Amino acid sequence: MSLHDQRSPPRWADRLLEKFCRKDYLEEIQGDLHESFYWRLEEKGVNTARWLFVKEILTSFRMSNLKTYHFMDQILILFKSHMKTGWRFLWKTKAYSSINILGLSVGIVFSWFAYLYSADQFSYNKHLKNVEDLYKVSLQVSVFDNLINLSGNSHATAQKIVEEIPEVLEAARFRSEHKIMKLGESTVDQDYLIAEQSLLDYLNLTFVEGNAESFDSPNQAIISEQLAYKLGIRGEAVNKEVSLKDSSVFTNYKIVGVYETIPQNTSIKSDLFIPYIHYLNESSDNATNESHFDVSTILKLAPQANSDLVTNKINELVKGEKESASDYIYNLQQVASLHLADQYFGTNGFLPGGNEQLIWLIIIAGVLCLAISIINYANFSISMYINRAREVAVRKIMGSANSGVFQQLMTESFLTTFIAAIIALGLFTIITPQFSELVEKQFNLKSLLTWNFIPGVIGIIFLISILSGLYPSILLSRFKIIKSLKGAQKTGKGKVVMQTLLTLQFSISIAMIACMFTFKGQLNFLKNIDRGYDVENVLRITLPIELTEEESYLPLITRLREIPELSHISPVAGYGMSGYKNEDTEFSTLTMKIDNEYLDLMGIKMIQGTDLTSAKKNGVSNGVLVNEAFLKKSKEIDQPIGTVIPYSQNNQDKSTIVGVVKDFYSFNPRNDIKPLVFSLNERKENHYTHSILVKTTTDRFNIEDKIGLAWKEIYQNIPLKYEYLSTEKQREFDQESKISKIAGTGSIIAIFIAAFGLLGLMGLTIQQKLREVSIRRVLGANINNIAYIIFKKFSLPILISMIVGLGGGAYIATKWLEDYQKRIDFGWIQISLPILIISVIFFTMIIIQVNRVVKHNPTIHLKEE
Amino acid sequence: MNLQLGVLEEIILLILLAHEETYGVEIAKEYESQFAQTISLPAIHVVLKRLDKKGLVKSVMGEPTAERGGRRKRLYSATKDGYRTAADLQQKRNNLWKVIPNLSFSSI
Repeated sequence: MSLHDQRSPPRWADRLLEKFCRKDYLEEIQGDLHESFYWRLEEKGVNTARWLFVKEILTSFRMSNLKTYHFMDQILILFKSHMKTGWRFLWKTKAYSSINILGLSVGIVFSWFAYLYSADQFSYNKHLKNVEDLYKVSLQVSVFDNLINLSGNSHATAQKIVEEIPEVLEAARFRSEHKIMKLGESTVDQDYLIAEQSLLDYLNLTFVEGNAESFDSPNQAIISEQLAYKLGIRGEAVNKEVSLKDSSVFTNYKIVGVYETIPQNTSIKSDLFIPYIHYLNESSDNATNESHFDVSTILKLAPQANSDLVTNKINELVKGEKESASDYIYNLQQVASLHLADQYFGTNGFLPGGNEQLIWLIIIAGVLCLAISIINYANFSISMYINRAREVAVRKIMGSANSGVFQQLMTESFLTTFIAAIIALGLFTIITPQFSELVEKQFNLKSLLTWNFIPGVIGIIFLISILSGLYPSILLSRFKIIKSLKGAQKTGKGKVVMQTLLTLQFSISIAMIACMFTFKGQLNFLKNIDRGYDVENVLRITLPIELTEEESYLPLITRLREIPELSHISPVAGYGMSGYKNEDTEFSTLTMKIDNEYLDLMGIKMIQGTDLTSAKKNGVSNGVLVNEAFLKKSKEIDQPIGTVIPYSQNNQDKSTIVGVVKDFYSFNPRNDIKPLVFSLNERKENHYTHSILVKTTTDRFNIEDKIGLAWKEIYQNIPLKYEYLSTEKQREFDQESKISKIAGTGSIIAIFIAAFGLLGLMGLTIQQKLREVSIRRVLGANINNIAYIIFKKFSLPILISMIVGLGGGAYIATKWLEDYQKRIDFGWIQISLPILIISVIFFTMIIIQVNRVVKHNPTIHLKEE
Repeated sequence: MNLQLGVLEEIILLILLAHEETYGVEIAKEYESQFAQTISLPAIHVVLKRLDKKGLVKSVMGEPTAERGGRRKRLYSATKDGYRTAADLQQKRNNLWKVIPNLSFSSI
């Protein structure tokens, strides 16, 4: 650097000032700074002077003297002009624009829903502490030909795993229970978790009051803010108590901490925790017995530990001890991906997992709806080319480059999408409650407008603008000036692209409709399968856990028998499982203990033999009833009645078949009917009666009140839980109903948008052919001729899309149906209905457009120019 | 007159009153010679703008000079209002001084 340079102010700082400082301030500031630089140069030396100069230039900038940067100005002015032109064009083509915008906003809303829902489903458990190292232990037990997945594990095995396998750092054991809890004057059934402290640590609980540092002695509790609010002790809960009913007396648990309610996207969620010591104290056996599979276990592995290796080690460890342990297979499931994992069952403290099929369905429906509305936009823009050709030409004559026109058209696309997004926000608010109900989530406008989502939400808008605007903008900006002015500009490839897009659009819609009809058909088919029993007027009264012993529920039965409207009353236990084995075959059977009223109550038909009570009277002590599926599986039984089968309750006595019942679907008819054995419930042993079924003779008249009254007389404080069996059975089709509802909504929206698109396109075509049409009309063409012109232009894309759409739809629907044992075929209904719908829409649109043309006075269009 | 004046504002206003016409660099020099501490030019500019807004000073563009690289300077001079405000302030200050008992502090 030369001396001269050193002795003058730094040039770059000067330039900076010139560039950004407003002209009327610049001279004074720059002059003063320069003068003071030379003055300081003499007094303080070069370096200080230069340093101060730079510093003062930087500190000279104020909002008041900043120059509005001229480059920014240009962009702003351009943008303003683009917006204005864009707005004018939208306004001029109001009808088409509003179809366009409406379609886009519906597509946007659907895509937002898909985004929100899938983001929620995939976010499960990700917020837990060290979630990458956490694994859920699950256990697979093989019972004859059946693999049963147990969510539980035993306390002792978990203990051994932690002690013997170095990669396993820690275990968190917990189990879910529910008891009656005092809530003010009344009582409620409260679910809670008995959990080790390590679980609280993994869950990352934030305490608002107290803490859980010493959460290990009996009769302590920590509760969520939500529960504290319910109990009316928010803000002052510590050292207060919650009362839970142990068998017959209420026990108090001292609250030591209140935590922020666990986020809804967590697989382990509870409003109340009780220390784990309660489980160990409950029975001395609990700590040592390795076959009490009644605690859920989460293992914390060392970072970078290989979970497959650890799984093998666990299986070896368990096998080493027991001879028969080969029946048990331990698995580790990563907690981070638990929610959507295969073979994950939300039991014993774990909440049910999500439905990946549903997520993909929503995403696909959302994306397809969006795609159809984007195609609408592109198609409109392309077919409006004649209207725009002159505008583009004039712009170019005024000196605009291709890029300028391109920018203009892209700005329009942004403007359109932006307006659509605003309308979408409104639509979103209106539809959210229905959608939330469908997916069992609580979504609202606020859940969309959080910082996690705003980038995605805006991202979708930008993506749409680019996707929908790009091709038309490129196409239109390349128009030649002279040709455009002469009206001779052709879109060339544009027409082909437009036709292809139209075909694609309708293919998607038709495929969606075809799938919808398949889903709906299958759902109806499943619902209407004859289950082999009658649930009409049957009520299930669910017994809380403390009433499952016979002496506690018998008074209720006696009392219920006094109600004349109840024709049958039968206490029932759940299904058990056992095995049937002879020389040739081995299979598992469901078992159930029933009393003599059960078959009558359910309307299950006997095919042959006698019922269990009469058999007993006749001296057959171990009589059982089997179903047809049992006989089918066990092949060699020809004469079932009187056959002694190697099936037994206690593996001691043989049982004798005394009767055969007709097959019936105990579960969702999605699956085959399983072999089943009924034996007589002699009420000797504890067999976990969980509910009482009653059949009413009247049609629900007053009967619920009467049962409620009877219940209240006997169990004052315990809430009554009952449900009609028909409602319960409906719930088995939840998944199918949801899928069919979403597919239904999706395809209706898709066809709606596509239909509007078609209407618009036809309108534009006619507009551009108005002169031709007018001449034809003047020369005496009738309506049919005009309709034919439109028909000819659009029939090919529609025809192709019918073939493509039905092909695609058939493929997807057949794939989906393969999951079902009992299923409908992709048949004529699924093929003909979409064709019918599309044809009706197609011809309606033609009629609407032809009607519009007929109303015009042809001479007006001939006079133009 | 009910105008709030900051300390720096008052000092610069006083400097302006002492000169017929002056500008940024001269004010800085004057300030540094009076108080023996440096002051940054942007600070002076901001204060001048503020005084201008309050109507206490006025400015005209001067002739270009060589040491400023041919740039003109903006010359500031105090207005009548400026004089009155400064005088008013000084008057009030004097009144306050009068009631300070000089016994306890004079020996320091």
